[in-house]
Amino acid sequence: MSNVQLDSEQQAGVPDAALAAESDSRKREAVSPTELVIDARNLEKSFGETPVLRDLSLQVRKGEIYGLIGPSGSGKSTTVHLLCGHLEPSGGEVTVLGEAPTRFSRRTRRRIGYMPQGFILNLDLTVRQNLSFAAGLYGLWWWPARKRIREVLKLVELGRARRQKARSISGGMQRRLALAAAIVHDPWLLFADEPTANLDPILRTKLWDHFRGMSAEGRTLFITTQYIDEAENCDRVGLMYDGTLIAEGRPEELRRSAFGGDIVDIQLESASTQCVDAVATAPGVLDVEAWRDGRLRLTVEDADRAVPMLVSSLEQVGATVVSAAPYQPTFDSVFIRLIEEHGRSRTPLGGLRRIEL
Amino acid sequence: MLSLIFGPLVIMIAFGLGSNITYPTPRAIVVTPPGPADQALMQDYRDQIQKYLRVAEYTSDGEYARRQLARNAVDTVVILPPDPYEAISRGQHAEIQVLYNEIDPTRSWVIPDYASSVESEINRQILMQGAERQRPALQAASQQLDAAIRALDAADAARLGNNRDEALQRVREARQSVAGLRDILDTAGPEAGALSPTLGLIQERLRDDEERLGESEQSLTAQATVQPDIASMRGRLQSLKETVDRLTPVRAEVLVSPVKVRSQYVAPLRPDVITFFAPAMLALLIQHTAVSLGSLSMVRERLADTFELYMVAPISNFQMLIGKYVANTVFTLAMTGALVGVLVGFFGVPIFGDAWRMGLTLLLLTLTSVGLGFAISLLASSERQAVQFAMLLLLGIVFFSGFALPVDALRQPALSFSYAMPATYGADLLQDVMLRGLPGRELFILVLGALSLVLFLVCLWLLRWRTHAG
Repeated sequence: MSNVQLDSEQQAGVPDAALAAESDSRKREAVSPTELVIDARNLEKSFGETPVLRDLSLQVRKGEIYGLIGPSGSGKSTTVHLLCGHLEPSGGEVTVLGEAPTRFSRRTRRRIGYMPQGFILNLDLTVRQNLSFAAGLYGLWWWPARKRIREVLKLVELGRARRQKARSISGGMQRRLALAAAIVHDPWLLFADEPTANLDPILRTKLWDHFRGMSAEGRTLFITTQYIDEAENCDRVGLMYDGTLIAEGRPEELRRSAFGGDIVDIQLESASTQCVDAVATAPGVLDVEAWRDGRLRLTVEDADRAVPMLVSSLEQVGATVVSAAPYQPTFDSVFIRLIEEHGRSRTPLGGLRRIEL
Repeated sequence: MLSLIFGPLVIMIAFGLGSNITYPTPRAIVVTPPGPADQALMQDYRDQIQKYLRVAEYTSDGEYARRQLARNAVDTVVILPPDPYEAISRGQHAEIQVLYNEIDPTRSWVIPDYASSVESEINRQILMQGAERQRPALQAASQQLDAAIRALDAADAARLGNNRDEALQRVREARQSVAGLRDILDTAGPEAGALSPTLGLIQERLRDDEERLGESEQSLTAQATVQPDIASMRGRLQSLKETVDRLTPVRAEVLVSPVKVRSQYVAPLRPDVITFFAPAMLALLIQHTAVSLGSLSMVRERLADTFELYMVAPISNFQMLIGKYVANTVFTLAMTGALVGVLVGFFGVPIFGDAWRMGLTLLLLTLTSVGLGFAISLLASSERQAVQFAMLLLLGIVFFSGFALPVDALRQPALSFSYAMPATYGADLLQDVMLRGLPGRELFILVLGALSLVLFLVCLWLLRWRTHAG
């Protein structure tokens, strides 16, 4: 991908010295994984008297895929608008690629791709014409643009529809077109507001594969989504709820954080009080839930170490263990639990809303 | 979009091809006087009236004619006087009544105007007839004056030969001739027509001369020592005769209308309706198309959040606006080229002036109109509002840019509206360049240029306002 970008810019007439400097800079950036691409501290945003974003702090490092997950109306898009410079924060500080978003330099803008939530391209232009237009906005000349457009059309599988008007293609195809327009100039940092909405699972998978490919090349992606299962594709995830970032971390960390540790499911032929006492007193066990059908669910500090020890303890008290294995709770349940805990810890402005994850 | 731009074009072409700005001849009923009348005079009336009015009917029933007028069966009723000479002899106007009930204010002038023309023509005819009738009287007057002068010559000779009786006799003859001349002129009466003022003057002088001759006669009779000034009297009568002789050979038509205006059309072209309105229509369509395109293009992108893309992309507001201007201007100019082709090739509208000057006018008009469209686009809160603004401007052009009414016929505040429209300047300039072969007013070119620049700056400011991070 970076080669394509380099070729494109050479043909777009960028001076050689500048090109070389930028190339060197990229290499330096590539070996500096801790560099913050996005640094937001205590961001606030209000529309009139209504606060929509409160005390938002997040850092995104170079090459990361950062997923901002949350229900509709939680402030994800507002966050993207603030990071893209569409909106001025009411409070706090933010830098993206080292610059305040509302004062991005032209060079920085060339490195940013933006895919909005709605379809904002021209419905009366064909798929290809829209991409040419987007390429033109980023200064790609005709020949490099032509080559790059072919690549992105292939990536989003719109090659056959390239001569169709945007108006006449399906909603899912329009999302793919919007994504193609956002990456046609091969950006270093991509803001994608719900890029996989309305896409079928196969294409969603392909897009995430592409996103991971971009990330592997050192590009940074800031992606919002309502699909909680997509959290697993992200390097780090922020959970937004009612204008607040209520949890942030690697997916596994969030899972552990939600349940207080790892989960182990044990199926016995029959469960007794003796069995429950045996596992509850075992080292590393934090919590035990028992069901009448002989199933136990335990929260442990480390599932891998706990499972053989638990099986041994149960057999010592004469129990017959049918199965014992670590359990991976779905992210749906992880986030429901995190939101419930957040609700218990503080009442958000406007009251707790019923959400469906 | 197509209907918004080309709809008015189709309407304008239909209007140009189908409209007729000449008014139809009014329909009239002529009410002739009941009973016997001067048939020759009545025929004159009819002849004159038919030149200006379409006579549906002649009737002597005035009430019937009024009823027909009341139910709008005719446009006017003309009531002829029974005996015009009788009224004239009484020192009054002979009145022809013209009744009409036109309620359309743009046409209410037609009947009075035609009536005025009929009045002038009839008066002229009467004056000509009167003048023609005076010709024999003038000839007789000349002869009488000749006789009087000859008598005075004889009287003077007799007086110098101390033949007082002979002199007296000749003076009496001269006085009788003058008195006879006065009788001739008196009988010419009111029909003297155009000669009336001249004859009145002559009569006055004759009265004076007759008195002087009477005094001469008395001095001769009384053997007075004071000698009558016969030579002076002769001189006066001779002068009078010269005046009468000058009038006698002049044709009655010349006497009646001594001054005649001859108008001459010197423009390079006498345009028909389509040709005359073609430049204004071109200006109107350019403004309308550019405003409609401009107003919709920006508002659509603004409301569809395409501006978000521009705000992230590495382009400045200035570059974005320039891009928009170029696209819209090129499109509008292409359409203008096609329109000019149709006007010249199909409708035969000429272009007498300089092509570069016309090109400059079209370019400035397009730039100004595109700017106007963008300003609307950046101010409107919805596409519908932008379309409404564009249509309001179209109405404004039709009424205030000189298309429907000449600009110099407008008063404030309409005049200000007029000069706020780029099409007003464009129509004027294009008319000069295309139909008169003139370069057009420099001031208007400068105003269009200034307007386009100001609108560009306004649009740039509005764009910055709209793309400012909120």
